[in-house]
Amino acid sequence: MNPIGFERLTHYYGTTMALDALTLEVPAGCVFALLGRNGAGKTTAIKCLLGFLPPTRGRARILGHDAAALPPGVRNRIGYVAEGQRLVPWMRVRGLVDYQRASFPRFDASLCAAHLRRLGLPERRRVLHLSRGMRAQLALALALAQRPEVVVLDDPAMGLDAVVRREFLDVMIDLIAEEGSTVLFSSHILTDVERVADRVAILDRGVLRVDAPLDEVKRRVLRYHARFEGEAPPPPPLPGLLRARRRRNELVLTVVDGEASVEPACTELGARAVEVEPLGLEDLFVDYTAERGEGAQ
Amino acid sequence: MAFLRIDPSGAGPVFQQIVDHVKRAIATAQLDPEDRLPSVRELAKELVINPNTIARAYQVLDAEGITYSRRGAGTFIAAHKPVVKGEERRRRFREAIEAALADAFHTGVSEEEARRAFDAALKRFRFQEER
Amino acid sequence: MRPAYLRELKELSPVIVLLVATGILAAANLTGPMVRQFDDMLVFPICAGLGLGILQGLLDRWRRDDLFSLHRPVAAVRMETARTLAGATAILVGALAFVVTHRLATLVELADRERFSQLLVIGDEPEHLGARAIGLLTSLFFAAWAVARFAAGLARIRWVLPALVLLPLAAWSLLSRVGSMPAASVAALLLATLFALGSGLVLAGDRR
Repeated sequence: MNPIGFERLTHYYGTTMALDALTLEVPAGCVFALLGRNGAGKTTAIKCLLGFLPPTRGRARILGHDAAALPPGVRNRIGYVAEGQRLVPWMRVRGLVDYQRASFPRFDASLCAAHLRRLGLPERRRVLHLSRGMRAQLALALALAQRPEVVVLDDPAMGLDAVVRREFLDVMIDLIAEEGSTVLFSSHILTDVERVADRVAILDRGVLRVDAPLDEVKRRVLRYHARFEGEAPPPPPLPGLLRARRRRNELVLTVVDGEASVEPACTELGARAVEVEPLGLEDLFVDYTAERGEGAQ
Repeated sequence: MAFLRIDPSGAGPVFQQIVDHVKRAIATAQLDPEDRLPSVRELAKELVINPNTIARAYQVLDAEGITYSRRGAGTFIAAHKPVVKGEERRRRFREAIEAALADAFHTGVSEEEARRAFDAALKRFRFQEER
Repeated sequence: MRPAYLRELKELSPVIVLLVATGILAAANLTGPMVRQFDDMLVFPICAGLGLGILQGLLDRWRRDDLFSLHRPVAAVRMETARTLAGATAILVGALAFVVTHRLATLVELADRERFSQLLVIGDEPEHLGARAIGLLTSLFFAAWAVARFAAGLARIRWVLPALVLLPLAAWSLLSRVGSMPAASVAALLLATLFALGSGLVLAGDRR
């Protein structure tokens, strides 16, 4: 059984829908990136997965258990960094580490100490006096010191500078190489996601739009540039058209699985040349989730 | 190993970029048979990408016979043996040439320039004697 | 549960200080014949404290944002128990301060009442009340607040517990005061008690 699974998970905040029948699986050892614009439902999904929000319908499954009725002992095997990494503001770093060690039987104190040494965190400083970057790194170090089977990170890189983000990636790479843990994380830093994710999912206003290996997504979603003699015509109706833009003599179309259909359709409209442009994850994401262009679905 | 630059946002899957780079490095004598490639973890940390991607690239290289792995010791460059049959080899080569020339044509390269570039590359690469 | 209890206790240390102050001031001013002087005035800070405590308890229920602390391999009930035990410890320490001061006051009475009174006692007549009364009233407010928060915590464990704590308190205060208090004060106290009980039950409906 996969360590993480969502089965038609639906959640409403009052009358506002946050998640609509979300269904996806995260296989063991996979690094899974959950993407979406602000308010798309990523944090809701993660909170449901950790049992902090009851689902309205459907369920979330973690390590084989129903997330809404998670036996406390299972939390021992799950490393979690919540959004904002608040921790306990008034505690000192040393006290916080001791608190974690006392609460989690699997806690590896020497591993944690090694992390903290590398980070150069002063033991006696209070958490609220740490910079945001240090707090984030501390939160991650604490979660990983549990030696968890599953790691769930909710926007771990939020508000962090490039250097700290790079260190984060470094830590994650070590984690993947050594422990083979399953990782589910949400992020807005798509260039970072591109480096480490095995699979990605895109949430758009509570609805799952994409769930596939990263390589496959990049292979199947391409941008086509059709050049015309004169004014570019309105885009042709294409299945899988995500976004269309018109620029004087050019029609720029982002299409899923368009190898067979785009070129003939554009040629029919009078295009002189059709060029294919592979997309980086950020461009891909924007075309998937931005305002619909003319003629797009 | 020679300076390896991969572009996670760029064209082509990252594992393929690595495979292509290793192949090119062998062909241009930057890597010799029996040279050891960096471990999956080392390379992952250096390039800042998922170790699974590196592992996949190494698997592909192993499968194509370009490298071989020894447990605990690492991944090494294999002695160069053309594994592709003659006819297939020639077909692939012709296709690659045509693709490159088409590119050159569209970017406005002259025939003379193309020929000169071809000769220069020939000198850099290390080809086997005609058999 | 021990690390959770210790952590909650540490977090409550400012509250403990306030409760100790309450205990001392209350013992110095509200025992014996002095109590009757302050009757009317006492009701309001107590009701306000209760009200604020209940309100915070309700807000806590909806906030639930301390995910870091919630994600622990310990049953939620045990976490709440640790928190409530810490609260009980705080209240007990305050009560202890009350008892100790009361004992001391009795002892001092025999020796040096003059000096003792000037330190802690606010005044013999309500007309004497001034700035120093604020200390007493504020501390009563906090005492009521602490009790209300404690009750809210209890509700999260077992819904009957707040009833067991608050009912006797409410009954005692009503029965011992009703004769001498104006109707408004009685009504306010009644309302506060009912509100506390009702909220406790509502809170109990949301157990995680």
